[in-house]
Amino acid sequence: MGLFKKSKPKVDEKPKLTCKLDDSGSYKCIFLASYRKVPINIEWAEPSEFDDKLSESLNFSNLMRFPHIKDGEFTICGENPVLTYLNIKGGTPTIHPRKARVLAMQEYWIQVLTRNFTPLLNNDSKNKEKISSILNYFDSNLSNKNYIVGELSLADIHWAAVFKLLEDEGREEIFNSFTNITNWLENLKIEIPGYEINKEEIVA
Amino acid sequence: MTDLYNLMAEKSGKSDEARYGLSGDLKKTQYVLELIGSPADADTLKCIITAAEQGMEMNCYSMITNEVDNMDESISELSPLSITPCLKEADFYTNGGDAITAFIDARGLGYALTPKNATLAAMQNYWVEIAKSNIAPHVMLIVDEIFIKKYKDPTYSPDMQVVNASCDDLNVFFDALDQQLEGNKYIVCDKYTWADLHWTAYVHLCEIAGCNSLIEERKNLKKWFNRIKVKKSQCGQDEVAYEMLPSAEETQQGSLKSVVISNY
Repeated sequence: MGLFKKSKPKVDEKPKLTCKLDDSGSYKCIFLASYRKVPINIEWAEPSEFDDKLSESLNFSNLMRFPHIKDGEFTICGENPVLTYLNIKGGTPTIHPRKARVLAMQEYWIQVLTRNFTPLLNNDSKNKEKISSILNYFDSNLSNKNYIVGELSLADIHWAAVFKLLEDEGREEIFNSFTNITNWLENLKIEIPGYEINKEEIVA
Repeated sequence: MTDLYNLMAEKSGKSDEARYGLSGDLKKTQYVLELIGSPADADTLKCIITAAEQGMEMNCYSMITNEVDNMDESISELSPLSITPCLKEADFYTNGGDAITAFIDARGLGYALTPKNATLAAMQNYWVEIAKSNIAPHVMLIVDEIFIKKYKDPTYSPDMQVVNASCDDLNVFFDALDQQLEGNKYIVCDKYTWADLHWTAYVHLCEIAGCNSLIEERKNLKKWFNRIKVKKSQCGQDEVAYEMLPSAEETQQGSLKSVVISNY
């Protein structure tokens, strides 16, 4: 019985990652998923569609956190929760330095990016000197290194996503005079398949 | 390079002989941890809680009461972007709350704070992100009025309009946490995670700044906070991490206590 029964159409069980245009957090999640080979479906949508079930149940209707992931019944929003989820899901090893000192350096450079560097990227000409000073520091850290902390870490994913966004916006002149940074980025473009995601395709 | 840690240790009255570990009597395998921070800074409090939870002794120096000459220049030598708090372990230096807490968590004696389950880990970081992005700016305004401006000018009278407006802005998030804690021992599950640690720092600062109503008016949050206040450290030592945090009086004075683990 049932030998020739028509099977049900296969349900697509891949997690759905909903991303926002011009959001570095969305790129971070795409890069991590592609590097770790976590199968996901990517959608691009407007912010109003982003509230997850948890935020909704807590009456957080305007958190405006991106991106958003839906995996079966589970939904969550925000770059760090989604990155954490994508770093544990899947069969490949997580990106997590085992040595305490390397882990600390990973977190240090993520903090430099999110607290010191990214807030300066608002087209205010007064920030030019500070941006240059941070990039100079970042560039000297990359001297003779393929990765920020010596091995590929989340710090590379975070910084690469911000540089990708600057490239999309045609603002690569901010960083392309720094030799170590450009070498490091070229290397990452090869290692992270998701880096070459094309903005024109996204918009289409 | 100036050894700021030595200068601040001297200023804090801890002679070399008295400082933990320097006489060679290390209680476990760890080196001596040394922290430079401020009692009204949430990141400093997170480092102290992490060290206590993970059973790592840490000498703490306050940037207020143990201030030395040219401290800003000395900090920028240690931390090129002047990111604080600052940590030293033997020949290793790192700066910033996220780097220091990750380091201590990995070096410590207890289990890692992040859940292994992907869903729980994501939920943990959802609550951490709410704490850092939505709670921190308002708590900073409160502690700035109540403590930080007084460090510079002891006669300063806090602007209570700023404090009350910040408390009002926090209501929606404290309501959400109260709802989340309904039936839960800790924020994301029955285990203590980073979410609890981050929220402890901010809720503690609110309480010692006099914004008690944010806690008192919420049944589940109040129960959770009372539980945190007596919770034994997760590394197995008979210590309560919360007791290592500076009290209201110590925060007003600007002093920090060192993390001391007594029952190895």
